[in-house]
Amino acid sequence: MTRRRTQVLAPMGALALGAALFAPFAFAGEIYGRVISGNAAAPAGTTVAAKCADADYPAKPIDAKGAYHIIAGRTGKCTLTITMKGQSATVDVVSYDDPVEADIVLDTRDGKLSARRR
Amino acid sequence: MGEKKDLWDKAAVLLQPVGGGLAALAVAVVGLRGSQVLNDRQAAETNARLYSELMSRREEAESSLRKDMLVSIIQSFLRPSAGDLDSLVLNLELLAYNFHESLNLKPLFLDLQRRLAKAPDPEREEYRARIDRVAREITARQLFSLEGHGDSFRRSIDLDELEKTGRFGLDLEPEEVQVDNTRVVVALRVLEVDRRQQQLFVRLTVSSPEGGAELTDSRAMFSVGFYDFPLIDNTRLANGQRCAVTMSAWSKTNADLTITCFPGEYASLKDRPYIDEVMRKLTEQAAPKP
Repeated sequence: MTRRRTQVLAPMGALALGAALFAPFAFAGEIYGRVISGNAAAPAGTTVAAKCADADYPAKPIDAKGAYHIIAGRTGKCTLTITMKGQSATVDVVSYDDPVEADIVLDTRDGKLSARRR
Repeated sequence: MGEKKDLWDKAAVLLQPVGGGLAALAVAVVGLRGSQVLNDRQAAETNARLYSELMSRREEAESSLRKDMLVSIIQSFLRPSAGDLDSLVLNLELLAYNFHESLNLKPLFLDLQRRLAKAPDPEREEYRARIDRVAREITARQLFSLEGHGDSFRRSIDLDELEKTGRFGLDLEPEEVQVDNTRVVVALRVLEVDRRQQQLFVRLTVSSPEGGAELTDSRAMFSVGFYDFPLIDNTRLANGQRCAVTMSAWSKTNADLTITCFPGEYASLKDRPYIDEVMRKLTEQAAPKP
């Protein structure tokens, strides 16, 4: 009886311990917002990629309303790379334990794309 | 011998009583219809009166309930006895969820934060997390509603970099915002950080953009933390609009601020407009539109 109880409880204990250890990372580092170009959502095909410390997060396309969403999974400084019509620009954003909203405004000056946080 | 009656005379004999009958019928129809219209109008007025009476009674009952609730909760904070922390946290949660639109609760939040820091209670971290969660939830809720009527932007601060500047502070990139067809430039300088209480001391400057309409510059210095709710804690600009700075995220190395500017009408219930603001609004509304 005791052996069977141990057999059942051991994996559950390990699961609980794992959840407790990794819970802060599971929800940390969520960055979301909109990419705006010329007072409207950036055109379809625009992508947002992120680099937080040594971790790279692949580029994802924005939706029809310009929204993007990245689960970085870690806190600290991140660099978002926004690519629109073959040109890229970067903007720095800090990711926290809580989700952080970062709207990005794209601008083209002298034919060069620039990005800033709004 | 009588005169021979023509067709018109015969018709008159037949139609005279019919005409009388029709006139009587018309009078009756008009009377009935008129009385029906009057009844309908009276019923509508009675319904409207009943509805407004019910609404005002409900309002009165709610006000009375809120007053009693406020008095009993506030007393728990003002009593000199220490009181148990669990009740204080619960009372603050009740206050915050029910009165966040009409009361500035920052002093109570800070007071409880200080009590928790001193208390030897093993659960104090959990209590601290609870009051922080309430504050963040309320700020997020208020920001969501204010951003729909105004304009906002966000900035990150590197706390280590800020501390290196000493008392000179750190300038954040200014942003042009538009509220009710008025454009203003909002600039923020972060002067100091209190890591223990998670507060930033900032200077807010709101001015006209270059070439824009003349607006008196507004400057204000204040501290910003998680317990500053934008609806209550905001800066009144010369044109009656408001700008609020709120803490949206915090870590050991960084902090994020959200700056929201919105029309004065959406400020809290405790915020009364100046008479000249009201007069200007009325004049603007009465003026013919081009």
